[in-house]
Amino acid sequence: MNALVESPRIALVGNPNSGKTALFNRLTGSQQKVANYAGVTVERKEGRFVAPSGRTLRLLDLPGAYSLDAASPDEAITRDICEGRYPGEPAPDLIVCVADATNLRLHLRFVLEVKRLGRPMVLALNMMDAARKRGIRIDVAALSDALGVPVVETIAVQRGGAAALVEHLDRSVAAVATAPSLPDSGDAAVEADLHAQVRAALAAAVTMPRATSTVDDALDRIVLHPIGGLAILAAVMFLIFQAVFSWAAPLQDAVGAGVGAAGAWIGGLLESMPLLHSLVTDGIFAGLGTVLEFLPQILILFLFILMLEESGYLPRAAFLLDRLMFKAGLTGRSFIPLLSSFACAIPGIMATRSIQDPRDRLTTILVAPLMTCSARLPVYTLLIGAFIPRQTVLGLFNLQGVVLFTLYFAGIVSALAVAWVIKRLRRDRSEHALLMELPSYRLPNPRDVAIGLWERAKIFLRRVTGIILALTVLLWFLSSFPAPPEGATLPPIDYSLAGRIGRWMEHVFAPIGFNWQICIALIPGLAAREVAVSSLATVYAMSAVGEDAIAAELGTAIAAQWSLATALSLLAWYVFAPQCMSTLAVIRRETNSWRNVGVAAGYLFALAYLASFVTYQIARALT
Amino acid sequence: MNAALFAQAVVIALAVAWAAWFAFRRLLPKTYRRLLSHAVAAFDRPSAPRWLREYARRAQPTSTSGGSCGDGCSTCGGCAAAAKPTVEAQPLVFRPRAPK
Repeated sequence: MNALVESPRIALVGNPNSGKTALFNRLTGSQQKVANYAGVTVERKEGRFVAPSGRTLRLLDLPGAYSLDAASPDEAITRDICEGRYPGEPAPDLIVCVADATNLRLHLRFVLEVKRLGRPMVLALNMMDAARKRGIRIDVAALSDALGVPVVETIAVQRGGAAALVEHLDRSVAAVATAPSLPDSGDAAVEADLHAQVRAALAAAVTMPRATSTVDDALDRIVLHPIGGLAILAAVMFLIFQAVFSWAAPLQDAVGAGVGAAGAWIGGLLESMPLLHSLVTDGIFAGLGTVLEFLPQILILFLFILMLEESGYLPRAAFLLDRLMFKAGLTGRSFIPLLSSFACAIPGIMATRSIQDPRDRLTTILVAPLMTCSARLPVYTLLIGAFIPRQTVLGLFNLQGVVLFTLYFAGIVSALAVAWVIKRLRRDRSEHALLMELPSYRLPNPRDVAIGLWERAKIFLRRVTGIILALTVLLWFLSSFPAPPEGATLPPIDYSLAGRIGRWMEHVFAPIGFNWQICIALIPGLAAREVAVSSLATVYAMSAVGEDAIAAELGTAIAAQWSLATALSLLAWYVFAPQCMSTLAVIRRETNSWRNVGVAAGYLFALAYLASFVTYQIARALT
Repeated sequence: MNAALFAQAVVIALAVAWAAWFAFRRLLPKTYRRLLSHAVAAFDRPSAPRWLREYARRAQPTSTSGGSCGDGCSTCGGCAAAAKPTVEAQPLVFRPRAPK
């Protein structure tokens, strides 16, 4: 342990989207999230690797920064660590400044700024493969002379692409211990003008046929068109939700059949033990099996999200939506955090650290839970599958996919509306221009996409076998005990503790059409939204009498027992309800305020109840 | 109570106890760590047997920021996203605007 603490510490710094995290993953074997846009890393990450000499090196991956004059919380972390002012973190022994070789005009300015810290450093010219493809020629020795720092070439996304860097680090850290470098003592007048130095270095060492890529320019003319671009964005989003339903159906059926067969087999083995049989079939298999069926849909959604992240399209979408978002009280910078919230609101809220203005950041945090996180997908698809017929509209579109798209769209519109109200309430008339780097387009790397999907699958399965399993077992227990009295005629769950709690809650939720079974499912759903599905499955399995056992047929059961108004009301509830304690906890941490937690939970519950009430009453009147 | 019924009751009791412990640890991690620290302190005293003291030391909760979630809340560990990195809080800080 002590040897590890004494290992040389190397920090990866550089402009956003220069490939620091990809390099970090390449060196340490880690699988931190990477994507083709600025601001993916908002916190310090640490890993270690063993150099060829056998020396263990500790590696810090720091958030991207355009300058050491920090403008946002994530940039402040990088500045503080580089300057040795970060609490509990001494200054790094060596700094690896990562620069995008295709965009040196922008990136070298920060390199020179870091150089002025006077710490041992090396410049990693990353994405050299992309630079060569664009005909950019870099004389590494001349660049090293011009900048006064060692320079090595890297291709972080290629196996062996960091070999030269590893070799250099291995040699450098040994030298650092005996000969620490001194602050640069160049001409002060030249130093004052970093841009002039960058121009001089580029003139001395870099030949660029064009400042930008011809492919990027051609694509941007189409994708960034004020009208055509928005139409493309809408079409892309629509396609994603169509695919989620159309492509997932056979896989979902296969998973369902597998779970059903396993449940029947194990249930058969436990036939002579009624209590255990009930726990395994009505509790574990009915509950977990129902949630597990939604894995294909979640993976298809993430397949699209990962490909969009890798392609470089997302910052373009942020640019297209900036005007709309500004009118609603947000900025284009809010786009990436809000988009991250489609996976889970927690990383989305964390990603708001890249927003410089604290008011904009708070607004984004407060509306992030309105984005439809992946945990809501099982609830949506269960209800849509049960109540919306699988038919084609306009000869082309899957109706279920259209409804899913509408629900996601409702979340987005609500977020914009809430942000607009917040802006009005705080009487904010200030304007914050969007300055965002548009990365080069890139074909998604199949390996990275596969790793990303594997990570998502692992996360989902960990939830299913962890918190969802635990809560399902607890719900089964509460739904089974106390046992019904002698001569009872109703299903045992009606006499159980869960049944009584559900009946009591029904008084509060009856105006929005929720029955006592839904009310029971709302409580464990606070821990994780998918638990609502497993809870409903368990509750309905426990409510079934005799031969009506419905182990993996929750959809059929609710379609038979609920009205359309109730289903629509529950869908409306899930668009708004803050049913995730982890999200509220992270709001508390990021805003350092219980008041903001209260505001978020209060307005989301109020909106959820109101939306469900209106939906239920209108649907009941019409059907 | 026959043996089969007793065995069922034991298995179910263990399953429910595990579920309660797991949910408590995930949903209330700070309280869990505090209670565990108190328990460990009670066992790790000079008069306690050596094996018990060693066990108590091993069970001592670490001072990490929480569950296995790497993306933020550090509270329940049940949320999405990969784990591992240390998480530092970045509370919002408001500064009054400079007068125009």
